[in-house]
Amino acid sequence: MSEEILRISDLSARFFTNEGQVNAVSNLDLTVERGEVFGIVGESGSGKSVTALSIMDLIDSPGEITDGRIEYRNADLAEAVADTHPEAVDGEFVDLLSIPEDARKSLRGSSFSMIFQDPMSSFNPSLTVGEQIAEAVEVQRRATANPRSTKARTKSVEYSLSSLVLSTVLPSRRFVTEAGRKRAVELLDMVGIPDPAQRTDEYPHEYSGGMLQRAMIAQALAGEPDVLIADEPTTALDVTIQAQVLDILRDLQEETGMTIVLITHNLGVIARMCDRVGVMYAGEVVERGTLGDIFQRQVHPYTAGLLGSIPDIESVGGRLEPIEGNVPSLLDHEMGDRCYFADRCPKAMEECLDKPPDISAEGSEDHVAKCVLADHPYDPARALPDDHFEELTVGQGTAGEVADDD
Amino acid sequence: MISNRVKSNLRQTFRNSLLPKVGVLLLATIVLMAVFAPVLATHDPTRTGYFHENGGPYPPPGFDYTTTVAQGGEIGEVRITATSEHLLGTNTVGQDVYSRFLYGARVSLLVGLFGVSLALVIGVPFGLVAGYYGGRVDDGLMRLADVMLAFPSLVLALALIGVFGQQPIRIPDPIVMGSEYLDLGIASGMPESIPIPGSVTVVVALVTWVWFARVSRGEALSLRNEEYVKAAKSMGEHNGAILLKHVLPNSVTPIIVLATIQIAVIILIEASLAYLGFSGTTLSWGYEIERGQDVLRTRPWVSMLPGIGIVLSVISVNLLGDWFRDALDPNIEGSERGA
Amino acid sequence: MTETADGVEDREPIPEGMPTGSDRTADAGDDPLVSVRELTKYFYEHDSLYDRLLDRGPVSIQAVDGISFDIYEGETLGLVGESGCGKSTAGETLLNLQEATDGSVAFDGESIDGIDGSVPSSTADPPVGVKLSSVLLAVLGVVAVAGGGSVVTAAAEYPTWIVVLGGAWLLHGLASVGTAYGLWTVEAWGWRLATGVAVLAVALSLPTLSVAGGPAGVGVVAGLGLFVYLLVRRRVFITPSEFRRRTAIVFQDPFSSLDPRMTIGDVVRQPLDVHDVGTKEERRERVRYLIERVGLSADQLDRYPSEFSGGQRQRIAIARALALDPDFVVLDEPTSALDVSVQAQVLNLLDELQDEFGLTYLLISHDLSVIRHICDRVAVMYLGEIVELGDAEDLFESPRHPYTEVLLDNVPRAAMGERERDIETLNVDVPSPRDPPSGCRFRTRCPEVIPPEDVGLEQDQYRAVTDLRQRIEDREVSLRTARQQAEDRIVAQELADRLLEVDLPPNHRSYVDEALEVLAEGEYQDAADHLRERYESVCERYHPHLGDEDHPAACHLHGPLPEEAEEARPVVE
Repeated sequence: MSEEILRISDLSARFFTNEGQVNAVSNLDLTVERGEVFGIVGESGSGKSVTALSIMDLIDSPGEITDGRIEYRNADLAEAVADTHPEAVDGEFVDLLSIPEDARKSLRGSSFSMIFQDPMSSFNPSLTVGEQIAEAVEVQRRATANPRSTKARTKSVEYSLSSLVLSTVLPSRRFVTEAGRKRAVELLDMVGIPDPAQRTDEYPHEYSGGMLQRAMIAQALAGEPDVLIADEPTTALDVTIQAQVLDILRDLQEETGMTIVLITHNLGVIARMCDRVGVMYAGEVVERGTLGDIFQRQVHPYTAGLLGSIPDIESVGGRLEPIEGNVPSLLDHEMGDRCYFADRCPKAMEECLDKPPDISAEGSEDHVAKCVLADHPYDPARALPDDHFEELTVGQGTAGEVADDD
Repeated sequence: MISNRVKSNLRQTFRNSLLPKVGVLLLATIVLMAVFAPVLATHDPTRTGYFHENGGPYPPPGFDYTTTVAQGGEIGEVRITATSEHLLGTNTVGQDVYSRFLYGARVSLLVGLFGVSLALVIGVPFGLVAGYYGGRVDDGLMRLADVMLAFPSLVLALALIGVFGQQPIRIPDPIVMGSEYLDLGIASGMPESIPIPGSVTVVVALVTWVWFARVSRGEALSLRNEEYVKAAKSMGEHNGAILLKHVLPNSVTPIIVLATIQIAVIILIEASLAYLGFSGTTLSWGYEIERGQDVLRTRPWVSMLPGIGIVLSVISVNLLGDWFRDALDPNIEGSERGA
Repeated sequence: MTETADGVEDREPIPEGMPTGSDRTADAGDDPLVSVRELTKYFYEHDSLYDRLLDRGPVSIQAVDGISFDIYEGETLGLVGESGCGKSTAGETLLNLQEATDGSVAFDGESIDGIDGSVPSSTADPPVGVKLSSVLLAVLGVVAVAGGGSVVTAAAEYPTWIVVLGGAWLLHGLASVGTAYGLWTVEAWGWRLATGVAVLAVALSLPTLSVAGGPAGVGVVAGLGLFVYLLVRRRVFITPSEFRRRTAIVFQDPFSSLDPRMTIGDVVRQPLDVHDVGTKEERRERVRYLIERVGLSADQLDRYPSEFSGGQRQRIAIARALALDPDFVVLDEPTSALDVSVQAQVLNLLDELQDEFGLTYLLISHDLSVIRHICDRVAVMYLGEIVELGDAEDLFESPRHPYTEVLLDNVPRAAMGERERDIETLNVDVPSPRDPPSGCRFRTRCPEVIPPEDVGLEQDQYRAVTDLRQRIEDREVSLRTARQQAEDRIVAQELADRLLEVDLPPNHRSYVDEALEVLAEGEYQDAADHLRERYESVCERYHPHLGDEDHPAACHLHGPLPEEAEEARPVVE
């Protein structure tokens, strides 16, 4: 079971904006095992979506992956690129960042698929849902039949003017074969759409939000991917619909044994779905481990703070223990070289002014925290004075907010 | 009303691209020409009869032509050459082309400016009220606007000119008056008042206000659902004050962009009306083009210069509009981030 | 994680002398601060002139359909439901930010009908501005009378339309002089007349422009100036109502709730300006106090909202809501747009402020954890109706309505063991509020629909049959697809395979097959009727009511037997 499928090491992604360089993801390390649900949890601006987009190779200008390796275990791929790019291959692992663009693109859909928060903008309103799923099936089929072909079109992520023009000039119907249609019905059935044979001929606007989200999952499954990346798949949905979608994701995972990387800000969703979890803050994974490591044996004060911030539905009232302060600036020149959480941390000590390394913590094998508390307990004698970061934060105020906006 | 962010955006776009600079430079030149027309002009633009002794108008350099004249019972060919007196020649009735070009700029710009102001005054309140109140008010006002839009603007303008007549408004020329009063002698011999085609100004406003109504209606329609508008209501602010304090300032940006574009449209409509002879003043670029039309092959300069004037002023105003739009459109500023 | 027991102990005590939620409902003598009765709000689609011309009837969206509840002083009432259930509309209609279609709201015992109408100001002596504008109006009037009069008297020289214009100016002048006199008495009608006169001045000036440019220009400028001045200063004539001073609202979206063109100092000061509270200096003091109270620095008063993060903006919005020291605040999803850590800060702040300012809250949220955290009593909404209302403790511990049960059950808990917890999910989506289901609105999704007594089907079998009928009634079954798919088989057979997802006992199966055979002929109505005959539920025929008890739930499982309720409210088709 515990065979690693994805190994990300030292990944950094930067965005070059008018305000300056934004360090969206910095020196990120994590591994995902085959057949598990790996959760990435964090607040807005923590870099969790950028991480997902990096795996999918969907980072556009002004963003750029500046450093690191994303290694994917795939023996066939390793064999295929071993001659041309020996530096990318490490046993069965292939570093996706050092193989050519074409090869990477051909992985989309068949090896990695992604579902997004907003299903509405992921479907072309002028084509039926079935056609769009059948198209994905056909594209994957052609790609598998002819892996070297650069013509294997990759699905455009969002509905845009160009895709409209494209679909007019190159009607998608040409991609819809009888087999593709059959498969589309099967896929819709798999994600629990009632009466899929009829629903397949309906347009996206005839679907409700929850059904569309399921249809998007069906589309993502068209190429039978190894890894499904779900970026806030239920954030826009109501609780009852969220429960449906999570159920379906879990059933699918059990049926097909695929790996899911689930990105969310909702710790409840994490608790319901995940085997292992990475907690992100300011572009770093500050703590990772099994569900039990995070929920019961957490070391990092940020993890503890997140858990203390959510009101409990099982019990009444009580004062919440929020994390004070605001989400930090990710602008390079304002980040400094310290533990990024130190300014909000109730247990900041003098050693937090140096960047903490990954330190193994008690619990499972892979329970790691970027915090000195994993090494030695909190010592009030070395605590930082309350106002240590005050001047810094006042100066940071505005620019930090700007970065927070997008 | 214009926030700092908008200002810095304007500045940045201006610095980063060439076209806004061209637009501003062009427009500034035309405005200066128009304002100081009495000083820059060499002749009274309305005086006729500047003809070559052999009867034809003077050409500008490079357009020399020969004409047949009957002299003492004999028919001979005479070559008419450019003169330094009339740098850009004279037109078919013997008026100085250069001076008329300068004065023509005045008419175009004044009609553009006044016309747009009037259209704003009618259209913006109309649209804001329709969009903000919605329902029956909106229905009624906007159907009226649709009716207006159904007519081609030039046809509508002609019909309205038929109703209003051609009334030029003569206002005293401040430069000439000032020069006389201070005894500067810089604008001697120039006409003491400028004719503005009054009814044309009103007519272009009546033709173009609908666009302002539509744009401001759209803005008001979305702004009335903004939570700060609801918040203002919840604290007891009345609708009038909400319209003026929240809705109008926040819809200013697209209206400014539209206004610049509409100035260009109005300049063209005025020129077209003048071309068709409905301007109420002959001191207009459009009228000049019409005058030169019959002799386009033999005396091309008569139409050419005013034509260039119209093209340049429309381009300059449009460039300005593009600049505003680029700088003020929130969708293209900044950069996207995935996180 | 905070332990449950600690949480209870940490709770801020409810101020003395204030009964808790349950006591209050029992104690009829305690008057509610806000009393909502049968509040209804419909929106209409297809209601424009075009639609009338095309003879299309308006379609109503029943956003809020007859909700009633009381809010008592000092308590927090939670209004919870999924998106589109009408909870936000309910909040806005309650504050009269949207006009109610029907029903009434009383605040502190007084109806809020027409509170935003004209309440003449009591100012006896008109302020300088009014005096100035009335003088201006009088002068404008005299000029217009003179001008109009001279045109009319010299009628012979002018074309008819100019004479008519002159006459209009003459009348306008007379009206202006009259209005100017009226302004001195500072009454609501004075404002209205003056506005009318100013608008008329602009309207008359436009055609006049082509006759006399100069004077007409003056007319336009003066008229417009007057109009704008009167609009802005309307407050001088009409005082905003007391209701507006005593109530406030905090919205969901911190990015849209602050005017991007106002500094945050202006934002917080706005309510004070509107109600003309205190001197300039006092207002400034109050703003500084409020901004600091919500945890921002008073140095930031000159900054614009775009310079703040979501959490900070929400604090500013809260400061604005508190500016007039209100009694009642509607919190419309105040933390939904915020990150969890910031949400916790804002919730704590709201909690503190409630005690400090003696506030009564109506908290609207879709987040049950937040509701449970701060509410004393909770109302659960579904498709425009309140389906359950009760004490927070009661409602969360022992929900009575199946919808509440499902909602509570479906929230994922952030705790170990969540993976193993069995969740009952609903497979049907929320019906459209344009055409809500008859009887109980939740019946299309309800896991506990009451089958007719003699049916004897399992709940999921019964559900399958009712879902099938629903789809036939909605004409959602495409016979064309079925015929294509059936190829050489019988269409009814194909329909059954496709539409029935569970196995039915043979007698029911044959009954359903009969209906499908009718359907295969294209007779939708007959097929639906056939099924209805045998499988119609009480939940479908009768609308359940929210009772008067302590913890009422609008559900036939708890209400009186439908036979008794028959006369109370038969279903209207």
